Amino acid sequence: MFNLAEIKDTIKIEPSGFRKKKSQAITDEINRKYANKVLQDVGLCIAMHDILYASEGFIHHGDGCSYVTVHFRLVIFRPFVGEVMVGKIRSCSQEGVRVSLGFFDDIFIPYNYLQENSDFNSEEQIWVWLYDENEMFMDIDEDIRFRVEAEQFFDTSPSVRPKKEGVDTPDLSGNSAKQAPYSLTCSIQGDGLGLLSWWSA
Amino acid sequence: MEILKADAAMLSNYEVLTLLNEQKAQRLANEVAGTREVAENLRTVEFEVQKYLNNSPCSTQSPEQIAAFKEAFQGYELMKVELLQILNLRPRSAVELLLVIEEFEERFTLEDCDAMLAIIAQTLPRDDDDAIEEDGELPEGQEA
Repeated sequence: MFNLAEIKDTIKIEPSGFRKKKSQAITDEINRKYANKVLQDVGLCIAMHDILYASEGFIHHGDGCSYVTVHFRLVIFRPFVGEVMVGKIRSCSQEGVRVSLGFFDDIFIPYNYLQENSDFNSEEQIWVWLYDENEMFMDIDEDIRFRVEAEQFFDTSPSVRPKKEGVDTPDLSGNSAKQAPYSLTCSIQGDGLGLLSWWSA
Repeated sequence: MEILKADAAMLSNYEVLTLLNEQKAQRLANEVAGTREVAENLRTVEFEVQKYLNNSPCSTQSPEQIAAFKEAFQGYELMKVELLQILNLRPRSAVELLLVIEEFEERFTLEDCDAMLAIIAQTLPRDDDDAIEEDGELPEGQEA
């Protein structure tokens, strides 16, 4: 679920940070830069774990900031494919079920990965698992156990698309797309998966 | 920025929770009224991860328990990720245990399954175990 990533970066410490201890100033800067951000093909950064190496600070001409080369380790949220986790149902739609862990929301269970014989109840807008003539409702906010099937990274950094003919301004519409930078596709097909209450009795 | 190793090591939920708690405590200790500011993004993710982990089985674990747990499982040939999953999810029934161990039937026997569940219950005790046996349902606000 969580792992460590080793990263090398040049960290800028502003003069206002000089009154702090060096290690504290570096930690604060790293956390400000990385916490709660997605790194492409690495995962969601949670917080700094430790500093492995820090160079002396360099001050460039015309800039009062101190630049330090730092090797450090970050705590990363990145479940492996096949991992089982527990979360809460955030919403249901015709396409499937969205699940949240609180700190990470981009978890989606498509309808074909629900338990077999699941049906969408359009009146209540929730999915129902029909098991031995029992109707098992998947209510919002219920705890759900699921397995990771696939992960997708999407580079959301700004980009200018190739110019269209006859249009002068660059087309930046792609930048406003609400695509999550890191999302998981999960499944609840199989014994033990699905709402916790289904399996606890 | 350069990524030297994307997955240098795996962390258990317990380790992450301990780290966040320690970092927060240290920050509060260093705080001189109004002089330290905490980045908004760190505060958000820290709060939400702590909330999630405090509701998970790792909230009652301790280094001694985890050491005993690892010791007791040495007799079984489990992969590292399987052990980690058992630790994080703390299965309390056979169906939950089989979920995190691949091809259980081929590698282990049913007696092993019972033995493993007994080890888990013994080395990672939780107060809500009894509550479940009594009314067969999870108490409000607690996760399995």
